[in-house]
Amino acid sequence: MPVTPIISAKNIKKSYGQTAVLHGVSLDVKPGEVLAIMGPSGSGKSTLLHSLAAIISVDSGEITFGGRNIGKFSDNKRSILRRTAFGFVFQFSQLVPELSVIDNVALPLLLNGVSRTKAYTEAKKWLEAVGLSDKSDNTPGEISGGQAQRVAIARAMVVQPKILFADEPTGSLDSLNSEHIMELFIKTAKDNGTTVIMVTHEPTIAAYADREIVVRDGLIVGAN
Amino acid sequence: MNAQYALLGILNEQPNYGYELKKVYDKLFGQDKAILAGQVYSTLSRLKRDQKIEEVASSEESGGPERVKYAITSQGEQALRTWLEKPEAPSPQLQATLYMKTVLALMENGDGAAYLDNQRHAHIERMRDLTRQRREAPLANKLLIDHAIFHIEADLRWIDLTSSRLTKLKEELCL
Repeated sequence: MPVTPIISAKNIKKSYGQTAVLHGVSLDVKPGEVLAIMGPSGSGKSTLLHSLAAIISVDSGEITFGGRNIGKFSDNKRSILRRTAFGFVFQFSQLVPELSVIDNVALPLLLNGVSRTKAYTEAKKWLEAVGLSDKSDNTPGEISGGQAQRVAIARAMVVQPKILFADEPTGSLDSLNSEHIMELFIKTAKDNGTTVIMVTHEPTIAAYADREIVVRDGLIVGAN
Repeated sequence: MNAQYALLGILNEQPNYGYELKKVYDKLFGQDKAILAGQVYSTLSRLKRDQKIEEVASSEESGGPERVKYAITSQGEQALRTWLEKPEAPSPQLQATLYMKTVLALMENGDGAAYLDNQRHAHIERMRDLTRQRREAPLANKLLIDHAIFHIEADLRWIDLTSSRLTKLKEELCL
């Protein structure tokens, strides 16, 4: 019996002004799958990720998640969806520099209205899972780039997202730290049954995925 | 792996028997493929002929069949040192087959992109296998797997760059 995709794009198109970026992309992602989106600069891979992650709306086509077409959601509905169902890990961890590490991890839950006690209990649990319990009270400026990415993983996972979106998750790290972060990232996602969709131009990172697709000139090309 | 220098390096630690040399070799370098006993003995025989090793008296009194113990000579030590000090030349080999297939695909249907996409996929598949193997591997194996992964990465960089240059290549070769 075919598995129902957790998220599905059907003929999605997106332009910025006169520039067409996605020309009709269709894609199914299975629950628990780790998918890498590859492609040269300007190919449309980040626009595809941002469309799937409800960061932007699409011009036409459908993106189905949880039985609903999220491609045309209003700004407000997309914002709620991102906060509750999706997690994000970006190239630079984008932690709030003024907050401590544990505050950063608890923040998404606090924004979702979770009680302070529960938010901090969960944050503590996730910091432990990424091996950074001893850095709870440090600020992002006091930890290394690799540690900051670990915190970003904890912050993304704390809401127990259905899908984890990552954009060049190790782009700012050296080879050894990249390996450590990717091992942790994939293990954390697999252990929790979280689907991962990540953009990367690095094949060594794409090799951690179950499957890769290549986007070129706004279309998915080649074998996948 | 250059068996001759590997055996010299092991013997440089201490004199040893052929079979023991095989065991040490396999532990250090035989992660992918163990060395055949025949290769060990033929290499030892060549090293002995070239006076890089010599037979030494065995102190073992096991009563079993007589075993030959080998030791490195000063000539062998010098050869080993010279080899270690000499940097390996980066391989000058061009991606001949990949290049040829790209050009032939362009000639056949005017578009090499599909060939390169398939090739990229096959390379990433292999990289995926190696990445999985690396996860559980002891450090010595990890280093060998890293080496293989970075070589595949170099091919993939070539594939990506060539994908972006196909139109120009077609023009330049008048295809």
